Amino acid sequence: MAGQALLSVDGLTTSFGRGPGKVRAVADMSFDLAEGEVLAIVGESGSGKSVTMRSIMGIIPMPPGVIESGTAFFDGADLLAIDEEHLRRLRGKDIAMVFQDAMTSLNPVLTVGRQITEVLEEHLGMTGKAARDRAIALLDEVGIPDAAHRIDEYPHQFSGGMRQRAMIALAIACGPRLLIADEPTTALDVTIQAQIIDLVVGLQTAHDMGIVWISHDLGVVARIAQKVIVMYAGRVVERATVEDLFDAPAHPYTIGLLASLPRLDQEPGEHLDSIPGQPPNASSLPPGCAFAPRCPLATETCRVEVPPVITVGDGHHAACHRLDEVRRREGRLPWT
Amino acid sequence: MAMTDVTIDSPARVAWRRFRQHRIAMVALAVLGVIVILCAFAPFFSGYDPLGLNMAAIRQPPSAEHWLGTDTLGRDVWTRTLYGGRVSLVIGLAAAFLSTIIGIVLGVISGYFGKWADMLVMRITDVVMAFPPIIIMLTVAAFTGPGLVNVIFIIGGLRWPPTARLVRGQILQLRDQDFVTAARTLGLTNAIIITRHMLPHVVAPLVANITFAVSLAILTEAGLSFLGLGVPLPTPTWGNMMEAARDLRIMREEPWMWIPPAIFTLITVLCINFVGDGLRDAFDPQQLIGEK
Repeated sequence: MAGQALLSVDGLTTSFGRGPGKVRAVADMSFDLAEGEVLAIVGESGSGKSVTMRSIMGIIPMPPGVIESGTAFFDGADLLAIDEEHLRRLRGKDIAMVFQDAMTSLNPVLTVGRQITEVLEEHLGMTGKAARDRAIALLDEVGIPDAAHRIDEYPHQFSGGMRQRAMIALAIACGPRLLIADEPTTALDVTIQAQIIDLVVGLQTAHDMGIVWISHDLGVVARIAQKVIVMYAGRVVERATVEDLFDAPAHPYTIGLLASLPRLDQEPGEHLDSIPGQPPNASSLPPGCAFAPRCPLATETCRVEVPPVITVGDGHHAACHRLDEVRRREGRLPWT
Repeated sequence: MAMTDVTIDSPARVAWRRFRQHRIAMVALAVLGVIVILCAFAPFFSGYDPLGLNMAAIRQPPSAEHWLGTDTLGRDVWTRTLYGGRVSLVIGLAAAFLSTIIGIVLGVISGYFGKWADMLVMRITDVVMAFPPIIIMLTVAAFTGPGLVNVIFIIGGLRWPPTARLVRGQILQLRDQDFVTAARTLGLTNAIIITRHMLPHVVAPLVANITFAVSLAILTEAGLSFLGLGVPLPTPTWGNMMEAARDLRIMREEPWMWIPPAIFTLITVLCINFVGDGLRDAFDPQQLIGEK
């Protein structure tokens, strides 16, 4: 990998509430993101992927949220420790975020243009015509037709895809080095999804941004990411390059996820495998591996001991007690 | 024609269009306009001096010369009602402005910053609300003495808790909205997030609140002046003109001295409240969505 780490997260643990109802949303999360690299964090709802990035951005509501431990170094500064003012100057300028729902993430009472120019004013000191021209150029860059006119429109006058494009324009306005994309395509039609992904990939190449892309859609991940982290119940279960993850998944959960994807080379009529059971209740996680109750290979050890992170290959790690068994079965697991 | 021809309506423009459809509020606004013009340009509508005594014409019933009669010192009641309206309206607006500013500032601090700031502000609010306002006002007025500015500060300084609570509630709701979170991730300052992104959303419920604050302040001034703790004589206000009715003879036999200011007060307060209703409906975000 070229360059040193742009973002280096180590041992991040975030929880909500206290006492018996306390939920540990993210436990001991660590990862590195190199300059210009695209990392995907995948997992189902409640697996902690959003909470991880929101903790780093400092937008976890506190209370009830508590960042119990961990560091997140960006540009030599620990985002979890620096003061609010320092963090504010980084946000929007060097680190930007795109949210899932652009309708609610844009302020309904301000024009799209105003929302872009205010960010330019804040971080780059651009005002008046210079800011407006820049905003038009940005809207144009993200593919909004007739940007010079649409800049004065309100968010509700934009379609869903256009709003997400406007959000992206807002995020890249000050040329961030790190873009956090929190399921930006989930609320969109499939065709629009593809356009937005192409747009982000194009922007990533043009601006050489590091991207953390949060998603539960492995198909999207395959298109955009170089590295993938799979989370389950607040913990990393597997991390690998995209190729390794799809070709040789090591963790039973990842294998289950991949098996549940529809494939073009499938026989007609063949049914999709699904992982039996439900994700665990985050406030009462089992003492051992959180996936053990749903795992066909689970043993007594799995149920009582948190699995260690084991290196499977170069840059490929998995947290599982039964990796040898997975390898012996060549990744084919008896789901039913 | 093309898509670009769609007219862009700002939320304020939409609200105004909706307000115009509210018939009672429009009538109230017109009546209020007449009252304000009458009071503001009082010299054009009356040839008398509101303070000018005329011992030769005391306690006169309405006549062609004195449309609404004269008071115990021979002053023209119509003239004093108009000039009194100036004072009453100024007090109403100034006190409502003051209480709204205090309410917004404290409500924002409390709702946005939370934690101990919220604790502190809300406890102060509770304390202010726990005292019967009229008692505090009487006590304070007794200490500071009567006077226009004192009355404004007394009313404004005691009527802010409902506004502060309203603003706090709105800010608390807004704080967790996605666009506020997004504004924070864009590195905007708290000042900009509060003033540009949050307060415009508070305007709708606040506008109605402000109008009610104005009418309440006018009534409070009338109450204080009626008790002799408001604006001191001889400056006329609707409140201290009504004080004349404390004299039983005037109350029963010379009603022209107190009925005009009473009616002006009543109509003004009613109209302001109707306008407030209209504004509240016009700014109602639910209906705004239905509109477009």
